[in-house]
Amino acid sequence: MKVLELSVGGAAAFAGMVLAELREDVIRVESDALAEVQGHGGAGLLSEHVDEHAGLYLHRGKRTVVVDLTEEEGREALARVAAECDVLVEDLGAGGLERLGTPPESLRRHHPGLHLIRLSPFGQSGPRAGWRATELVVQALGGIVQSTGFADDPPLRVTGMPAQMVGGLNAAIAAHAAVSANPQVGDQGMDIDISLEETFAELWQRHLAQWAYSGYHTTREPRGFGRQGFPHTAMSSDGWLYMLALHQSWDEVAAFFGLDAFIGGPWEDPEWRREHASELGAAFEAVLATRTKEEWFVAAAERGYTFAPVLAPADLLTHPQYAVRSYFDRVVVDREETQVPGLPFPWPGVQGPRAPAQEAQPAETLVDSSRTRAREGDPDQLRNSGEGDDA
Amino acid sequence: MTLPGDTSTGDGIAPQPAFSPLTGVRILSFEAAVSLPSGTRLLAELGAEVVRVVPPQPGEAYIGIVDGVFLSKQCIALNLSDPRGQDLARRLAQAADVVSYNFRPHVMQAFQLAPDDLLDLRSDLIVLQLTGYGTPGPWADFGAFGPSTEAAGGLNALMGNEGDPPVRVGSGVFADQLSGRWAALGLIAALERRRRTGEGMVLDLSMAECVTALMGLEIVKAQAGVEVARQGNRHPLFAPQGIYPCRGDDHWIAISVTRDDEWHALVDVVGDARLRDPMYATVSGRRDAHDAIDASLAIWTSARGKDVLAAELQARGIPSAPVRHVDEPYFDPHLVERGSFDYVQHTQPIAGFMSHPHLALPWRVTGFGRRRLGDYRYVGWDNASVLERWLGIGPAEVDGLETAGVLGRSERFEFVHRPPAQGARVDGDAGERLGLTPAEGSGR
Repeated sequence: MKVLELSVGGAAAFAGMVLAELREDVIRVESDALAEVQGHGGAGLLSEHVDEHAGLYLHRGKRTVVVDLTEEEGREALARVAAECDVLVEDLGAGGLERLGTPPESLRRHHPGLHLIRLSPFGQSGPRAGWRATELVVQALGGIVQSTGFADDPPLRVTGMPAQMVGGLNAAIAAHAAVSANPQVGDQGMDIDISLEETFAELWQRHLAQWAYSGYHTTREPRGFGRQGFPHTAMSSDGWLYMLALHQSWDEVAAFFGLDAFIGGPWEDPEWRREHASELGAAFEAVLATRTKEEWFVAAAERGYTFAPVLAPADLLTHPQYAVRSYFDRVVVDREETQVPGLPFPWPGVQGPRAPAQEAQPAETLVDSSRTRAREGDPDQLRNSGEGDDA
Repeated sequence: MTLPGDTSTGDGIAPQPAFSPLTGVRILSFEAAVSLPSGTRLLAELGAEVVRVVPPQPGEAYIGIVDGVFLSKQCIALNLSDPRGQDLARRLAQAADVVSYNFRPHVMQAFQLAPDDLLDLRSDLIVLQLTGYGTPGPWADFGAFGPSTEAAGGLNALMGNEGDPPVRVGSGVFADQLSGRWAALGLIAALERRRRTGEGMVLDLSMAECVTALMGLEIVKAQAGVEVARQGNRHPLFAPQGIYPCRGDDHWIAISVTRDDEWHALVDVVGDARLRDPMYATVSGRRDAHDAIDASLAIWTSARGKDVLAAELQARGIPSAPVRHVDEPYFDPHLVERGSFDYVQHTQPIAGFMSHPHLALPWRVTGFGRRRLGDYRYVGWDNASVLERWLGIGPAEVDGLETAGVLGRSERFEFVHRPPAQGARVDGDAGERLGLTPAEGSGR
């Protein structure tokens, strides 16, 4: 599959990155006009996170071409690159391609079968299509936020840019679906409209459906001794331990931690435990401090409990579980290596052990190399409007 | 505005021809909980025939129905403790394009249905094994639920406000639904690869790694020496950004000011002279005074309704949105117009109604509709049809296998509401508000 990526926010960039990791040929277009269209056009997701750090992660494994899309010559060059591609993925917001002066019909001028995967905060249609958005705004409408955090605090967003990335993940699936659909649609490319609000809402659909079936509203949990009547996160000797006991009684949990004085009787009642949180909390704190988070996790897992250590990004880089699976890819810039997450499953040519470090190159260099290849008759014919038609 | 109801088909959900790129693909899925089932449901929505394999013993139906992850699938019940059940599983695997499961590795090994066993049956088979932490590795055989993998995968460490303990995502199924999408991607990519190469493969998926893939930026920053810390709803570049109280019970609005002109527009509409302080004209000044700005904004927002206020701010070019409660999306004019929900028609009454809404495929494809969601199928309801079509086994033999306990079948399920979360509001009229058709004799 050959993919053309017009990305400003994290959504299309994530889609392109995932497809590149699957060893598809991804060409990313760089143009100041993209941010201009998205930032000032009234709709679309702002490029809030795609800085140099994000670029190392999101733009690896792609080829890059710089095009001046403010000029007709550049837009024609884009259509010619698109003619070599199966799929175009973009996140310029509702109507972004049209505002850019590259509407679907112009992109399909030389290739009617080009599939367009169009990511936007709220979709290409509907009363909210033109709203401006950030990651926080999409999350607020998509759900989860209302039920995240503590009851005595405002609702809380999910860290990072998961709404954009999950939208991008959907786009990567849609790209494969579109190509798989070629026998069904013949030589006619499809437009696939993906709303980040809707793709994020799917991660919360249990809550939505619980209202429809049972009338239940969601709540943010009480601080400290929450719903299960003991903290879900507490400090061990070397960091936080997450304690999820879905199928264990309090007595089993107390016995596991050696909190024998708190087994049975009134302690089986979560409300009692919440009322006596200071007494129980002190005992919890003391016993958790006797082992590391990983030691507690392993001991719990051996009993079938689903606890987990709360690991920070830096912890993951050296963790044996991740190392054994060769999870992290390596990107090299100026001989400096950076590890980045790979696919969550081995893929031919990618893992076991993973591919050699990828040498990330600035766009200009890649454009130069593209030009060189094109001059040498490379069939990709990547174009740069500044070079004219001979590029 | 058209109110939702069980007769609505929504935008793009029928009557156009359905988008079905995976028509003809057979998926045999030994699945439970939410993670893998959410991924195979997505593939079912794209036209794949998904057969869910369950044990013969009837189980709780509530979460399976409410999560919606078993919709649009068929269900057979196999007794894998019986060698004849294992034999049937192997024959079904040979007739499938994909075999998937989300049990720990030793479970399928015990039934001689591990990945190598399956590839021995058919070399072009695609096998997906979804576990909490993936194999191999020291945690390979550890059980996990989605929230555990969010903690281990690096998310919780950065969730919450500075000074607080790490916070978990308030979904309960965030990592499950996320890993389901990764599973769908792996499978559809593997199918495309098989079409090109003729080769089968094994996909060994780790839920924790699915979560870690969302943390790529933070992982890069950590290596670059950039401090990565919990920062609540704030943003490193935008200020102010936050969630502010509105009029109403637990009503809130999200506001992100991404540029100076947006800030000036916000100051104009708020009308609080303190916000005109020249120090606030730049983002760095606003970041330094974030607490004071938040306090002023909260006083202003708390006297206003979230929906009206969000529309007013959007009209002035300021990114903002109401924080949605669970009952609101069904009546949201934007989602209603886009047909975001499909009303699943039940074959037996559930909670007193003959249909309920579920989120439909969140894509719109020009020239195509989306497949209607098929109802929940319980233990063994499709034994006969699947075994007939996949293996040519007739009804009499299926009856015999059911009588012998090799296959299981339960005629009806009990839908028992789980208790609500502590302190949660409960609406007794949700079905009526949704315009659902009451089941006969339900008393509604």
